[in-house]
Amino acid sequence: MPTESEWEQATQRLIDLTESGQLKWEVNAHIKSQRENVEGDVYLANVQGRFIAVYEYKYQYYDEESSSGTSGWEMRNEVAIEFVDAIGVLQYRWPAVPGRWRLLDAIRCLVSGAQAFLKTFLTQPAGKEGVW
Amino acid sequence: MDSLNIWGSVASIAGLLVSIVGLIITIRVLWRVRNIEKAFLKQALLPSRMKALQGYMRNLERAITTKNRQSVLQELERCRALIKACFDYLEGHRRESFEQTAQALEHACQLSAENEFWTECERALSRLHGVHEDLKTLVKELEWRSKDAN
Repeated sequence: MPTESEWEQATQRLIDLTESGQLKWEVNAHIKSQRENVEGDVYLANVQGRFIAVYEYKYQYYDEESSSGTSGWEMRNEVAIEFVDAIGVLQYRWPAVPGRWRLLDAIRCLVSGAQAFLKTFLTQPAGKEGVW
Repeated sequence: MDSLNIWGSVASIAGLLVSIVGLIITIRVLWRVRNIEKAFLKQALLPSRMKALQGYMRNLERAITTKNRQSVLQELERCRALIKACFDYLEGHRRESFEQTAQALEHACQLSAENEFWTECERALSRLHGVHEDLKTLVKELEWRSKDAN
């Protein structure tokens, strides 16, 4: 069995490849429709012939000292990294390594075009920002 | 003078006896109050602890499914603290089973080898289900007893 440290390394590799633009992620509405409580989009990439899906989701969490009401149940957010097959069926869920949130953030930054926006927006001369 | 001495001694002995009887009565009253208090706390606290344990068990199950070691450790510790807080209200075989489960949870928390850790976590969860069922039975018993008393 692979160790958690190996999965952490693999996650870091995905972050590096995403940030350097070497890895392409696409929004996949089909997988989103198959999962519950997904927040935002499900992102899919093909890495060495394997499909990797990354997404944020909400789940119920019990905390006796919860500040949200008296029931003790509250909603929390988590990130899933999964190997899926060609039609989005879960094959293997990666362990919840610390880098998972950074990976999702890197993917969102890339897919949303945030980096490209900043590049052009900050280099444009003042008064030509095209604000409406 | 002699008769005064005798009466004095009798009075002392009588006083001593009264004090002893008073002390016994006080101890019995305190013992009864303590038992009533304990029974009251048992009836008031155990249902809420049972509910909390169920919640923490669901958290633990989810943390195991998502292979989140940090969350698993946190939930194991929470379950252990909750079970330990029930010790005072349990007796005999039931208490023994709770103590063993608390030990199993502590043992799982200390494991560093990954495969062994996850196997022990599954075992600990299974034990927790047993403890929760036991707690449910105890709460029902208390409810019936309280209905009978009323």
